[in-house]
Amino acid sequence: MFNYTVRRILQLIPVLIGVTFITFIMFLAVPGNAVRLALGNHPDPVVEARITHQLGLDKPWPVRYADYLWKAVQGDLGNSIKTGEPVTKIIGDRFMATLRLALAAMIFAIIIGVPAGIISATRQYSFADNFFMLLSLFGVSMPIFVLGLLLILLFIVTLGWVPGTGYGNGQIAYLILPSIALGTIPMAIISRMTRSAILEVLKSDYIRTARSKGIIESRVILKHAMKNSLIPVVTVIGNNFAALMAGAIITEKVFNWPGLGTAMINAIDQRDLPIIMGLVLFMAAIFVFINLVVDISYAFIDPRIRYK
Amino acid sequence: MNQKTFLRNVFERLLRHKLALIGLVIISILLLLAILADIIAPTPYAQNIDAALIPPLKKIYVARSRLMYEKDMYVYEVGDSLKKEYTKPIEINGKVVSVVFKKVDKALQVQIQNGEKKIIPIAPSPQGVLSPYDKIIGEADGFATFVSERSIPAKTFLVKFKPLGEHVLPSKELIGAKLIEVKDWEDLGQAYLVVDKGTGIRHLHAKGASDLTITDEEIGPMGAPLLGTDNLGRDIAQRLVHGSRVSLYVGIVVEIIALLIGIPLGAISGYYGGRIDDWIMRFTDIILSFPGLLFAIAVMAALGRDLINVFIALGVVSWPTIARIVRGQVICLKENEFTEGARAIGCSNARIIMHHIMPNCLAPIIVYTSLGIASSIMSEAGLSFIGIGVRPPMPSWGSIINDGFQYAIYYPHLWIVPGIAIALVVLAFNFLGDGLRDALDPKLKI
Repeated sequence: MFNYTVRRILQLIPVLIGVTFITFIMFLAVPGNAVRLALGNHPDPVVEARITHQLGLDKPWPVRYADYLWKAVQGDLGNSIKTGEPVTKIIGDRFMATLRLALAAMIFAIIIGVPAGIISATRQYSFADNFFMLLSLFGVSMPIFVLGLLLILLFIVTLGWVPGTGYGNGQIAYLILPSIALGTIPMAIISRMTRSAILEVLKSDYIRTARSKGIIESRVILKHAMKNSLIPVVTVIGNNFAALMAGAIITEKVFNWPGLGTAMINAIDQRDLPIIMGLVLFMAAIFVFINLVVDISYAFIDPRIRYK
Repeated sequence: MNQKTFLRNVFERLLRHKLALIGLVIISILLLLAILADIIAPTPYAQNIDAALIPPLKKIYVARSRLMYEKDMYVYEVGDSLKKEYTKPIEINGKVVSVVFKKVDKALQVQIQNGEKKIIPIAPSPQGVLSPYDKIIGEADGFATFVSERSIPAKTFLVKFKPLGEHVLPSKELIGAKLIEVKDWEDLGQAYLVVDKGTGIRHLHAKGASDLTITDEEIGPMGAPLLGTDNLGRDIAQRLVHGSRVSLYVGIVVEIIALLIGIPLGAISGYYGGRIDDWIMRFTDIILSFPGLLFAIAVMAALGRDLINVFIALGVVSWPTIARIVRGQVICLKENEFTEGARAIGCSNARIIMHHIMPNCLAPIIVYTSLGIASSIMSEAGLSFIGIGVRPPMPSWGSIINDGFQYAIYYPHLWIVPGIAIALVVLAFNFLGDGLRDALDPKLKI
C-alpha cells in the first residue's frame, strides 16, 4: 500500500510540471504586452519599466519559466499587477469559501444521486427508474447559471425562504442554493453511474448465490452489490468533485459567492495575468491532487488494485 | 426478399427511439432558426434606450402629467438591496458631496459626508427618490433613519424613474408591479410608461408625478416585443434567434477540431503503441488533468474574447477524450483477424488504419460527437456568461443572459427564455447521442 501510494505521488510530478508549463506557455502567448493590458495603452514609461522588471518580463521565457516554477515550489505565485497583493494571499483568503461550496455541492450530489441510482437499478424500467433517469438527463443539460437563477427567482424572490445571495457570514441558509446549483450535474452523473454499476454487478454469480442462500434483497443490494459497484461510483465522485472547482467559477458569479471563482472573474475583468495564472495553476493542482486521492482510495476499496 | 442496409437499420432504430426523435425535432428547429436568422430577425443589434427593459408583450406609451421637478429630491439606488452600505456622490445645492446610504430593514439611513457630518432631512420613498416630505424616525452616530410615510394603495402601480442619465432599479416591493416605467421625469409634463394596453391604468400616484395620464401614443418602433427588450433596448427575441447561430457554429466547429486532432492521434497511438503511444497519452493526460472548463477559461483569458478563440479554447479541451476513445477501439481492433488478413495481403499501415480499422470505430465516434456537441454548446454558454465568450455586441445565448444578469432578479424575462433555449438544445443533443448509441451499438458504454 505504501509503495503504491509513493509510486502514484511520484507519477504526479511530470503531470504537475506539464500543467505549469502549459499554463505558462498559454499566458506567454497573450497578444500584446501583459503589462500594457493591465495598465492601459499609454502607461507612464517609468511605471511600465518598473513593473516589467518586477514581473521579470525582460528576461527570456525559459528563464522566466524556471523562475516561476522555482518560486511556485516555494509557495510564491507572484503578485497582482493592479493591487500588488500576493496571489497566494488571495487564494488563502478565498479558498475556504470555494471548498465549502464544493463540499456542500458534493454532499448534495451524493445523498440524492446514490439512492436514486440504487432505486433505479433495483427497479429497472419502473416508473421511478424512468423518472430518475429523465431527471438526470435534464440535470446534465441544465447550465449551472440558468439553474442558479431559477433557484434564486423561486426561493429568494418569490417564496422568500432563503434570505439572499452572498456568503452571509457563513450561515448555512446561504449555502443551500449555490450547492444545489453546483451539485446538480454531479448528482445526475452519479445517479446514472450508480445505476449502471449496480446493474452490472447484479448479473454476477455471487449475487445469485447470495440470493439463493435466502439473504433478504435489501442486504444483497446494500452489502453485496454496493461494495463491488463502488469503484466506478467513487471514480465519478472524485472526478466530479475535482471538476466542481471549475463549475464553482460560474456558480460563484451567480450567487455572489466570495470564493476563487469570483476572484478569477474579477482578475479576468481587470486583465490581471498573475492572478489568473496563479488561480488556474492552483485549481489544476487541486484537480490533479483530488484525482490522486481517488486513485489511492481505489486501493483501499479494492485490494486487487494494489498488486497490479 | 427485403434486405436492409446497415445504415437503414440504424436509421429506423433511431426513429423508434422517442427521446432521440424529440432531440432531432429540436435540432431541426435550431438549424432552421440559424439559417433563417437574417430573415426572421433582421435587427438584432438595434438599440433603443427609451425602450430598455420592456417585459415581454408590453408596450410603451407616452403619458402626460403635471410632473414636477423638485429641487430637494435626491436619487438613490433602492434596487441594490444586496449591498448593505454604499456611498454615492450627489449634488446638493450646487455642491457635490458624497452621501453614505445604509439599508436598515425597510428604512434607510443617510449620512452626508462633506466634512461636517450634517444630517439633512431627506428620506426614502419607494421610488428611490429622497424628498423632504418624509419623516425622520431616529438619529444616531451621525446617521439619520427615515421612513416613507406615504402608504401605497394595493392597486397603485409604482413608477420606475430614470433621472440624471442613470438607471434606478426598483426595490423588491416593486417586483410585482414593474410594468410601468417613467422616464425623463425632469422633462416637465411628459413621461414614458410601459404598460399593458388592456389594464386601463389612467392615473398614477407617485412622488413628484401627480395625475399621470397615459395616452395612446406609442414610443419607438418596437411594437410589443415578443420576449421583451434588454438593458439597451434590444429585442431579445431577435438576439435569441441570432444566438442560435453561435451555438450551432460552436457545436459543429469545436467537434470538427476535436475529431481532426483526436482521431489521428488516437489511431496512431493505439495502432503503433510503444513509445509514440506513451508520449501521446502522456500529453493527453496532462490536458485532461485540467478541468475542461477551467482550461477553456484560461485559454480565453489569455487570447481575449472572440468567436474564433472560443473554437480554439473548446477544441483544445475536446480532442483528448476523442483520442482516448479511438485509441481504445483501435487497440481492440488491431488484434482482430480481419486486420491480420489485411496485413497478410500486403496492405500498408495507413491503408489498414483508414480502410479496415476506422470504419469499425465509427459507432463510438458518432455517439461521442453528439454528446460532445452538447457539452461544447454548454461550455460556450458558460464562457459567454462569465463574460469571456463571443465579443459583444454579437449575441450568444450565454452572453444574452450575462447582459441581463445585473437585472436578473427584477426582470426574469432577460434570461428565462435564453436559459431554456440552452437547456433544450443541450438536452436535444444528449437525447440524440443516447438514441444513436442504442441504434448503432446497444452494447456500447459511454
